[in-house]
Amino acid sequence: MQRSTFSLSLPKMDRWACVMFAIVACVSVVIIMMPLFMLWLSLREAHPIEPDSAYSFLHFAEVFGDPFILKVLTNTLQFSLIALAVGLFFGVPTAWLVERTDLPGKPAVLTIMTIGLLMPGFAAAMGWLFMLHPRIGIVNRWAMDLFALSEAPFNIASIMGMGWVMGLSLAPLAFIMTAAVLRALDPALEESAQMSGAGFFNVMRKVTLPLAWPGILAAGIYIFTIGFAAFDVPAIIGWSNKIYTFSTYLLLQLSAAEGLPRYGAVSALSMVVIFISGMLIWWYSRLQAHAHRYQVVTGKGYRPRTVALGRKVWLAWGFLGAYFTLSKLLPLLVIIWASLLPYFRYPSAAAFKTISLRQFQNIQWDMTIDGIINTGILMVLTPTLTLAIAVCFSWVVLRSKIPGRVGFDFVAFLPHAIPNIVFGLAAMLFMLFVLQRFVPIHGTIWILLLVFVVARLSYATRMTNATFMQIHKELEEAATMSGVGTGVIIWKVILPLLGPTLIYAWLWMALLTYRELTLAVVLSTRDNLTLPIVVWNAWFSGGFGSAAALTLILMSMMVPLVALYWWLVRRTGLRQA
Amino acid sequence: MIEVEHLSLTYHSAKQTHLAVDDVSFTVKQGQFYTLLGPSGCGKTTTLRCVAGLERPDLGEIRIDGAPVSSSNKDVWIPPNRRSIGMVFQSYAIWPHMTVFENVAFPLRYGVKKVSGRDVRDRVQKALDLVQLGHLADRAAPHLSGGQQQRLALARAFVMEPKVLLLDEPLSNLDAKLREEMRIELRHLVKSMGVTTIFVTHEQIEALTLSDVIAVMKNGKIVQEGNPLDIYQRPANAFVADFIGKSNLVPGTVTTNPSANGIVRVDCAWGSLACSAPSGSTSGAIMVAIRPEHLELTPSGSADENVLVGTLEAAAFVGNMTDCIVKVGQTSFKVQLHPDRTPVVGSQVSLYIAARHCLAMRADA
Ligand SMILES: Nc1ncnc2c1ncn2[C@@H]1O[C@H](COP(=O)(O)OP(=O)(O)OP(=O)(O)O)[C@@H](O)[C@H]1O
Ligand SMILES: [Mg+2]
Repeated sequence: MQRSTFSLSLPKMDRWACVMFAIVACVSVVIIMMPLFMLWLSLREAHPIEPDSAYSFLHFAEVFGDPFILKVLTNTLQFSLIALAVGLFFGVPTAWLVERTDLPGKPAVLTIMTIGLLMPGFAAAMGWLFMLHPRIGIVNRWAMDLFALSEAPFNIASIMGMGWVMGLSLAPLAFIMTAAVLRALDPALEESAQMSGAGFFNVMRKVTLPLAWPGILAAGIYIFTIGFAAFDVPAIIGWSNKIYTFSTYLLLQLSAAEGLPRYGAVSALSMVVIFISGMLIWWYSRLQAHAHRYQVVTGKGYRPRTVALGRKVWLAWGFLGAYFTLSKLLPLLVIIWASLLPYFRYPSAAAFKTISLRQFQNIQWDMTIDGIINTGILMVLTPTLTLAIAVCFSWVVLRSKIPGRVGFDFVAFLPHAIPNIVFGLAAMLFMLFVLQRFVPIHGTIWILLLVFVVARLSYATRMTNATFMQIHKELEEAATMSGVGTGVIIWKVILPLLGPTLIYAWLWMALLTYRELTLAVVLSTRDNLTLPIVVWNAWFSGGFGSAAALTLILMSMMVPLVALYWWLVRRTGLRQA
Repeated sequence: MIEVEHLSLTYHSAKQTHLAVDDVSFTVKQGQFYTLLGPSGCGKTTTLRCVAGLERPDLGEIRIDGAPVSSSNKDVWIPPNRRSIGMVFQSYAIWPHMTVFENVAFPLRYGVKKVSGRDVRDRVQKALDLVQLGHLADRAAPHLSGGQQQRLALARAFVMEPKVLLLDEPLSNLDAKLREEMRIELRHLVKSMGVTTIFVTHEQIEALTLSDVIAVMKNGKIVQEGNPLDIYQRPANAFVADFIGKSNLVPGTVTTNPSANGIVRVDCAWGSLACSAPSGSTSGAIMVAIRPEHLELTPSGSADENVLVGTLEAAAFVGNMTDCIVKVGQTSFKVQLHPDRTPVVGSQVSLYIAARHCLAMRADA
């Protein structure tokens, strides 16, 4: 058949379609430029400010030849494995209890998990440091007094300890992902095994676990990837004790006191980390596709068989209670305690006499207020802008006829494969050496906004894509046939239908933005302080008490947002993040 | 008036290409009700979407009232929202976040030809009254029944007073009884508006009862075009004969030249038949199509009547008739008989059929 060039020419687009395409194209360029620039730095032998240089794998050799860096990488792997184990230990049984047993008060589990959002990772880390620090840790001192030990029995400032704290904060994610896997399993498969006479443990061992395994493994890899990229827990606990994971090590290299920062080596290490993390994400999506094979495909509602807990209800709630106490309650109490004392000491009659609100009065309020204002601006703008861009991406990828549109979806997903600290770093280097010449936004909150938006774009586009796919295409085509252009379709048809998803995703991203430390830490200066950075600075200048007081302020300001989120999720049910 | 000339469209997916519309040409006259009929996947929807402008054809030209809206060699392309075409979708595409009124008002408020506030109210009310939904104007759209949604979709398509109306299987989402009612109503509505209409369906009954002209499609091509009676009585080939109404298809060879009244003799596996050849010159290997309802138990006495002798293998009572299977030689025939006159299963029967009901035609489409 003969083909004309007619069908190969770009589809003619109206004004709004062009605007959306332009936005998507510009954002894509920014996303691609950041890691590319980093790659360029890692291959360039000389320091970036020098005009010309040779290119080689010198910096990579440096990375792999440095025993300390290799130690840092093995540390990171150990840390994330422990975190994964702890997360699964608490998350998987909870998912099973909620999905497959007659546990009373299931909505309370959801509430607990939501309240848990109030406690950012760095706050939990502070709490655990106060409890298990080898010298000042409350629990250690008690145990030493009680059993007359000469040495502290626990040391939180270790890979083990950091993994434990990280795992506690990953447990809700493990819960949500495993619950989704269990929900998707056809209970008829278990029931028929039961009918063939298999007992509870045999059904578990022979049917439930093997069927759920691909899904749980996928969840495991996902959680591992997050642990691998974690910054705040290793930073709070490990930094001052000179135990580094790659994310804290990168920051250390940048803030090195002597000489110029080793940009080349830092970039090379970042590329290695991006590679590892990219492989993990790739493995995850492969498994995810595989896991869907076992999913219930019928649209019919079904009522899964529930295991009667009987007397063991107390055991179940004891388990959940223990988790809540360990992960949230104890760290919170200790932080409150620390904020009331002039200097940290373990509870005693003498200590109680020194209780006061002086820490709150002595906070550097000028900085704190700047931080609150900046955080507020970012918290509103980041989700709004991210979702606006995500809608453009989804429209271009799923609805336009632009050739190569699927590529944009890949680009939007790219930031997901880059650990946040590396992302912040890439943004900073790109800013410093390239962008600053055109748009001088270094040290302003606009650079933070840019980085926050790009980093959240993967999540936002996943959400808008999923909802877009549920909107019947004919709803938009009917509008076209009514004589309207793309703009009216977006405003009057698509956005109202996306509404619930947008509200949910907006709130979730607002929460994440509010407590975001990692991305901000590389890019912060005195002029673009955010609230978490104010806490961070207080902590590192040794003001444990004032850091604790600031954390409490930060957490209390999150309450309305979390309450709103809880109210929304209770109405619509949990969704996989 | 709609004119479609040499329309072709190929879908390109990741691994393969698929020629969905293959050199299709047809003309729909002013006010005509034109139906595209064919099995699933034959390219009806794609053809309709090309006319709407929702797909862009690779080749060919489409003109509405003489003006080209899409043309591959003149490089003309009018986007769908400027073609002033009313369309009813298979899913109805009722916007769930709007009321009935807002759904119908949408084209007037935001469309190319904007209408002022007061006129919007009047015209929407008029359109809703036309489809008897006037009393439901303020209801939320998802709270309508299937039939009401379908009428709402029609009202929304009508309200712009389009030159052309496109309907993509608008009845397929309704249950059997409602479908029958809406069929009559649909034709009445469309005809009273006098709008030129293209209707897509894979249900032969809908096509036969609604249309002025039917085009039967297969594999992206139009294989026969004509009025309903023509299509039913004089199918051009075995595919049409079998697709429109059921037919018994028997292979055979023409042995004589046509007689004065157009009758030929055809040799089949079990004997010879006198057949008519409605689609013109026929020779050599052909197919004979015989409709189940044309086989009778009693002779009519006409000169060139055929007699088939066989055994009644099975009979199923379906209400107003019995569906039977009669084995003649090695060939099974579907036969429809009156329930009172159906012999017992296993008995020998003689079936009579006039030569003008034995249709000889080309075997290929
Ligand atoms: N977007 C698409 N990409 C690739 N192939 C397509 C696409 N849309 C349709 N097709 C293919 O083109 C052919 C014609 O499709 P079309 O929708 O026109 O069929 P149809 O006659 O309307 O069938 P139905 O009665 O099932 O609606 C089908 O084989 C279909 O699989
Ligand atoms: Mg169709």
